Amino acid sequence: MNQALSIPEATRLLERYYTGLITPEEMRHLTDFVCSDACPEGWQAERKVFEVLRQAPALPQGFSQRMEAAIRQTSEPAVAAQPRRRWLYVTTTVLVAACMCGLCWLLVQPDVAEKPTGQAIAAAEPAQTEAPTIMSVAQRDENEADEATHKAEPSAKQPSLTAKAPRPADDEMDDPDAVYGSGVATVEEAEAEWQKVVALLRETQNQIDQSLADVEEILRSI
Amino acid sequence: MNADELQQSYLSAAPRLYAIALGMLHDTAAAEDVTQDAFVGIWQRRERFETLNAEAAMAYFAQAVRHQCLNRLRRAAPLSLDDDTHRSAAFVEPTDDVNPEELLTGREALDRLYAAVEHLPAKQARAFSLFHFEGLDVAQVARHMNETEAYVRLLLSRARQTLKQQIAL
Repeated sequence: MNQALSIPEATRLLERYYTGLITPEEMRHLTDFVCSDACPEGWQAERKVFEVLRQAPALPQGFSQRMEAAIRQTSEPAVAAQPRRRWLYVTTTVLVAACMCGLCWLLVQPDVAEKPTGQAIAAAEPAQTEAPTIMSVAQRDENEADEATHKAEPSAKQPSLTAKAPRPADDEMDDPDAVYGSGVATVEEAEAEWQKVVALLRETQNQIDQSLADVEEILRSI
Repeated sequence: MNADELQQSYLSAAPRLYAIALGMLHDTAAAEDVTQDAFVGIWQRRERFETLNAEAAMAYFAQAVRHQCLNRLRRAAPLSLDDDTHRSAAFVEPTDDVNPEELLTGREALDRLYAAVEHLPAKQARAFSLFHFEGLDVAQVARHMNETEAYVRLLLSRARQTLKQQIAL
């Protein structure tokens, strides 16, 4: 093709080259012509440029796009890490606050059960008063020889505060310690113990409320 | 130069750096990988370029690419002497038919061309490189650069006129 290109045709292509209109195909033909012996004398400057251009190794297709993508990928991670770390802190703090709120809610639940429990205590009083009645009745029916026997057995029977006290047998009614254990024998003592537990829970709730307030302050400062 | 200038400078120099890598490795895929990998190391040391000008930065780029090529050659198996698949005309081994002086002159001329392209304004250098080194047509160059075809033709026209004056000297 370079041999068949005439000077007028080459001149037209050279003009297209300098005006930016030349296509890659035309560029190849023009390069072959300019680098050949048919190149006119007045085209020495163009010949130097075209000879050097022909020496340059061709870049693979898409080379620039891959280079730009690699450069972007190299440049970006250091910038993206900072917002990600900030969101991690915020998310972690929110989760901790949510867990503490759930814990507070669970600890508050016994306050709702306090009234029924109080009612249960009040309902238990007749049962407790019933026992002395039964015991007093049983006592009247018992003889004195059984008292010594029951006093020797208290260590074997130690019902816990929270365990449901079994109904004492008829032969055990004269000794409350043997039946109910040495921990709590009366309703008043059980109620006192319960009040202690309630006070402890209220104190814990106050501490949790304080911690929540601290967390809210931290969230506001972020 | 700041980070943006460093990226633009490296993109403009990429064809020349690729040519260096291809001359050493004789493999297009490996040369491209080295050209990309060299930038990773340069980016990690970008604070050094704040006080460097464009010419000093180019020397640093070329040195980084050569180091990467040497590391690859040390790790790779010996190349087959019969493998001419990816050999470039600019890097033909001297034989009895090729004058070493002409070969050196050719390489110097090529270096001068690359240096002249890198000294062009960034958009002119990009358009020229995409058209002449990557073989894209004007429409493809315009799409790649996100510019109009008319503007790309203008960039190519100005770049070619400038290079004619630079190379012909």
